Amino acid sequence: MESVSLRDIEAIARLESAKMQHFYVGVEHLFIALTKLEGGLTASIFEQGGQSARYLRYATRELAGRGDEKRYWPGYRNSPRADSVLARAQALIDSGVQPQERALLMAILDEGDSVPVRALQESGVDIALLRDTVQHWTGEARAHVPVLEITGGDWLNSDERAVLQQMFQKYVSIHIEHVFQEGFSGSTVMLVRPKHADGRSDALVVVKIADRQAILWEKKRYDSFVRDTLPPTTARIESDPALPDKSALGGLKYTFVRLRGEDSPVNLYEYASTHRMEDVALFLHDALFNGFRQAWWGQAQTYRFSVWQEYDFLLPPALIVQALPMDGTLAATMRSLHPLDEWSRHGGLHPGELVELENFTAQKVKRAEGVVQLTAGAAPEAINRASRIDVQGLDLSVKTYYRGELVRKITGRVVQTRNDILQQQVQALEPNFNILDEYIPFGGGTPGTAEWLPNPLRRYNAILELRITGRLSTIHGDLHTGNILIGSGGDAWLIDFEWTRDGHTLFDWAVLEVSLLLDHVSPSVGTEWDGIWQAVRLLDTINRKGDLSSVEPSPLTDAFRPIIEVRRIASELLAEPGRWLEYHVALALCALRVTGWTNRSLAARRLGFLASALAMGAARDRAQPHTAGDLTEVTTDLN
Amino acid sequence: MSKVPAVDIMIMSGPDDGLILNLTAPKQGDSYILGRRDDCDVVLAYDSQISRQHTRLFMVDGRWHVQDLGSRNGTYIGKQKIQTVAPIEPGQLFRLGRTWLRIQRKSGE
Repeated sequence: MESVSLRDIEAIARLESAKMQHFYVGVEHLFIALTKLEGGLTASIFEQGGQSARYLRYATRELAGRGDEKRYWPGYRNSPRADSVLARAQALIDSGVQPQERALLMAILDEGDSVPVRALQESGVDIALLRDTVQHWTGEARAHVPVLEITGGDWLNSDERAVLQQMFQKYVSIHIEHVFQEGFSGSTVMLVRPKHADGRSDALVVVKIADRQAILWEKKRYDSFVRDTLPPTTARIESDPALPDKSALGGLKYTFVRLRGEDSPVNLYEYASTHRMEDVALFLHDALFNGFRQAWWGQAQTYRFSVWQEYDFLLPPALIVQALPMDGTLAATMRSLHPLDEWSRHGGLHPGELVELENFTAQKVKRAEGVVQLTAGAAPEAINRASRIDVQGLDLSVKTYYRGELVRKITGRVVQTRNDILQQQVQALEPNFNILDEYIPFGGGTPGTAEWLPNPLRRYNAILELRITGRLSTIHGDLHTGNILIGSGGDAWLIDFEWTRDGHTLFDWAVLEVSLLLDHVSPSVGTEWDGIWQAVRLLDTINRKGDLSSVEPSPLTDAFRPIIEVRRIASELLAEPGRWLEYHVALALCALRVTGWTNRSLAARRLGFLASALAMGAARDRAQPHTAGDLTEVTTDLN
Repeated sequence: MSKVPAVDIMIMSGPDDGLILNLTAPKQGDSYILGRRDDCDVVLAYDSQISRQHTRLFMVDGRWHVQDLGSRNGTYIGKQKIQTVAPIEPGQLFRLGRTWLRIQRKSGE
């Protein structure tokens, strides 16, 4: 690597610039080029310091943003700052600094005002310390990086091993003490004990391995929005994510202030399988709710919102679009779609139609499948709003997108609408009712019963259009039973901040109710519709009476105890005491989402669908507990 | 509103990153206009996410303020999108489209 010159680095910087459609060489491109020199000084220093070159590249690119489609000048020009940095580097080289890579990195850090230096500062890097390391780096330490010994993890694949190797490179071995059971979210969460060369063990840490885009996003959110709002007992992310090259996976390490050697936490899913349901209920109230209430849910202010603003993102994309090359001949028939315009809520689009998508934001990039998910914006509040479109058929090896980047224009053909997707999902449940009817007979159509539930497929749009009063606070954003850990002291620790944000307070509790319903009620009622209706009837009783004290106790009613506790907590968080519309709306959409979770059992998806129907019915016309009627439409406003 | 003094603005990203613009007096009125159009006080021509007249920079009681002029993509101070008007300190970064800018501290400040 001694032979890499400034000119070589500038050439790599130009490639990076072209990839980002910048067509100028800035300090950001020079920095990214430095991190890409394989086995180079920059990469080694970051690796040794526990930072990830890949994460720093990502943070730098995100700060710089992609350039315009059009070029404003031929060839490449340097930004004034890049010229100044290169001149500094040349002066250092002239004074004897070698290799040239070191001189350039020192010059970038000395200049101190560029995009990559700001990105480094944002991810917590001490610039003065880094400058010192760069100046004195001998490169020897790298040769001694030992191969990490992993025990208790025979089942790990090579990508997962690579993540752990990078994450724990300061240790000689790690032992995987426990893998948290849950297995629906697509990530692996485990409890790891790292060991030093002298045999000492460090405190247990929780490690999450998932898709690297999700890992990057979670770290970014944690840095920007979560770090300073966390209650004292929760998990913290104190180091950069591990993102091995040539791997689709990444890893994050959560540390816990109070996690001592003897503690061995389990998640709520596991806890509920081995403890009495009344213990689970007690934990929910005393540890979880009381533990986080002050920092999160209790810090609420009342607000009015359109349901779609907070809940639309739970449903399938508004459209799936097949990308087409830009072509002048298509323009005449093309419909132009902008984020949050009429189309996103009232549809009117049909498969086959040509559309031009303008000024959306890339939210998720699935490189291998050539799919980019677009949303209305990059800020957390915009991601959680309507207008999600999946664009497929893009060649992402030619032109890629970064999460959070503004996408000026994509043209394509509508493949499916949200209605089509939802109908397919419900059809897959093998319904014993007509999915196009306005109503579903309650209980599956038992002769003599006169009650009906609204069909969620026909009602969801009206629910999304409701305006309701709720409370706004910090929420976890994905509070399912796999993300709640219970320490041996009974503390509640939360992990997974990918969706943490300011949002509708009851969202967390509706997510948790649905999660408890699927995990602990669904297995007791079987797959047949009759059994599922039995669970729905009990839910209906809870809706009407607040609990199941009027029903003969059974193992099934016992399984509802944590849910009854969630309702008690929710009752404290309602914007207007006794007005349950707010909660049922949240529940209806959180439950409807389940119908699309193909990795869940048929029983779970059926229960989700009917729970959604029940909640939609309750939101519309049911008398609620803790109140003297007068519920419906008081807080709704169809404008 | 007081008369607007001279100010140095440094461009903090993009092709002109590092460039310092010495603004001495507004072309019109009592505030500097930043945008894509040629007649702005600060012309940012290489960023299509910037509106023709994007942001106004002016001084009230000795303090600089930025005002978004109803731009398509908004004006940000740090990560925060501003609601019409917000005060801004020298040294603080603000953003139009994808272009970051900074009011330079006066020497000795």
